[in-house]
Amino acid sequence: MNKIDLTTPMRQSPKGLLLILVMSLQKMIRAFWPMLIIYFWKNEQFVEYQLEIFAGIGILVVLLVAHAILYYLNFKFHVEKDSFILRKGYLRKQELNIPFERIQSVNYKANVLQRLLKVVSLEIDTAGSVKKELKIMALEMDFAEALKNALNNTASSEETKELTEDAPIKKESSKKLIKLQLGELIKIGLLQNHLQMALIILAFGWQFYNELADTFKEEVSQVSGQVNEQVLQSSLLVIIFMCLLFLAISVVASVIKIIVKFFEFEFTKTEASFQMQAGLLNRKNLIIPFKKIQELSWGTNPLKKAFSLFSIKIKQANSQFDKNKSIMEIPGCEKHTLNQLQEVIFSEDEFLIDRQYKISRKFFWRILLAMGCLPVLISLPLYIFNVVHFTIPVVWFAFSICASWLAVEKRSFRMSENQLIISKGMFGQDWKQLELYKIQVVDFRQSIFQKRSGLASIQIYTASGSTTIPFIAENLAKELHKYLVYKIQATEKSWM
Amino acid sequence: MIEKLEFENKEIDIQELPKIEDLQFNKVEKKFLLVLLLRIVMFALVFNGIGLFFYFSGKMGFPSEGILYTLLGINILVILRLLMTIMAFKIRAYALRERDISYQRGLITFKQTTVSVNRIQHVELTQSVLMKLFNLSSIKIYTAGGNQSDISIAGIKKEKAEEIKSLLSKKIGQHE
Repeated sequence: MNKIDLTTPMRQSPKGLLLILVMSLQKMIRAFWPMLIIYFWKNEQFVEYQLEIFAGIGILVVLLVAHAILYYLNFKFHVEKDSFILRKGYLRKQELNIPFERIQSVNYKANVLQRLLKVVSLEIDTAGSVKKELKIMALEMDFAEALKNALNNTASSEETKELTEDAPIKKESSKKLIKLQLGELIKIGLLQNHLQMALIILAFGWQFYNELADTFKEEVSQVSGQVNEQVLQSSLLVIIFMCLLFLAISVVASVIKIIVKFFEFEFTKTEASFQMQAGLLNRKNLIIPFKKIQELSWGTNPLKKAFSLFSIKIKQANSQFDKNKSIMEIPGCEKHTLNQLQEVIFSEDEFLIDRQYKISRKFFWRILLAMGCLPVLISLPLYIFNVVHFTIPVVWFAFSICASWLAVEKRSFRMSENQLIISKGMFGQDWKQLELYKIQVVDFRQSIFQKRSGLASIQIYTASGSTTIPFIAENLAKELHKYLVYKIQATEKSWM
Repeated sequence: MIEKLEFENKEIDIQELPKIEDLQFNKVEKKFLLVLLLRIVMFALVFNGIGLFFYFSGKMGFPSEGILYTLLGINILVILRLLMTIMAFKIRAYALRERDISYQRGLITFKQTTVSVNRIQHVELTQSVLMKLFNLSSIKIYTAGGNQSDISIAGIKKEKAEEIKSLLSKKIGQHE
């Protein structure tokens, strides 16, 4: 190994200075972009204030540069005995002291600019709900590697000991499980949930439209006037064509999203961990040791089901940076790969048929109330004066009856001695599997309506999220509560 | 529809596990009900004060009866809230066992949370100004299960809360 001294306090790579500057500039532009657009659009109105505006911008830039320099100079870190120490801040000085045993994972990432500068950013994640920003913006690659190794080595002694002892074997035993080429990504993209994508585009488009509408008031009213007229005058055929066009845009958007996110996707299994690499613009590199996995979830939708494809999420304890970073996602794989993962992650355990439970049919009413009745009732005043539009809530209500019925059908859970599988869904279906000793907290819940029908719900919290088993018999819920608490206490194994 | 549950368990018969529902639950201090009620009354007083001020000063753009109706509505809600708080108070209780701590509350949705000692990350005592007057504390128990699963048992005598905290801390120490 290269000799890099980690024990003396040091700064990040000088290139970090540039990065900090660019990042804060980016933040500022993001905050002020509507103003900028107004400024450039209505330029002539600001002519007399030209000088003040430029002076203001100048002062801001000077402040930004000063901030970047001070931030860079005061940002120091080093490794001391068995903890990682980070000092930062110039107005409010902060010292963060992170014992290795609290470190959950160390990841590095590189965005476009960082890749150009040949540096990476290093993020250190800690367990627990205490929020601490632990991110080093710019490190030379070999340096990041050394730091990561240092932190990981001492962090989880057992598993890494195995790793270091078997270091030469490790390379051979690492096995590429999944590799997705462009063609497969396009196929997966085509099989995504396009309705969801359409809604996102709609919501985003609406927001964008609103933000710009104020600036371009006249133009917008002109155009939307034309569009309104056209929509009203046009035949059904045109409307159908518009819908199809919109759907096509959604499909293309789904495919692009999948390609950008999972470009050159590689999923590898090593001696003690899963590793993943993917991404076109931001290359994501994530390692999750087996024993830190909290739960495995997999799902399918009607389109994927036709091609017997599953999407998979491997979850470790929540990261305080970003929920996505604690999740390793596989956009599409076949059943046998899923089974392979299950074999690796979970100990062998038998799921007996007589420990398979469905939930009460009464759950139907609960979902219908939330999904069908409430939205229809709330939006009712909108239709009173326009009876034609009343078809919308009627169609929605019929839709939610179907959805609620399916939701009851698909919700079920299976128990084995040490594991739990929960299934839920409406049109698609999602499963979640977890070892009982990974559970953190168990909740027994019963609303007064449930009490009348002798039902109750169980809520399970793990370090990666929570799951509900709703509307099961009260006795069953009590037994389950008792059993899960017992299972948490009976184990000597650590949950991470 | 729902099968009867029988958890068979090779190592230990589940029927012999201590039942959580049979636990000896401790009620929180009666004084704490006063704190809860006072909080609501204080909110109501402030709101009524502001409303009446505007009503009598007559400096509003809209009909002043509107203010009175709004206040009436709010006061009805406040009274409902007071009644609910009194009724729900009987349910608040906690139980400490060797290996876990359970807390139950909730009138409309009853909720019983059990946190195992071996999953506790840390324990914290907090005290609001009002609670300080009555010498009461809250015990906050944090786990890695996230904010939603952290429990906060409010309305325990300060000395007792400290005792429970040190007891739990000792147990957490044993597990590490």
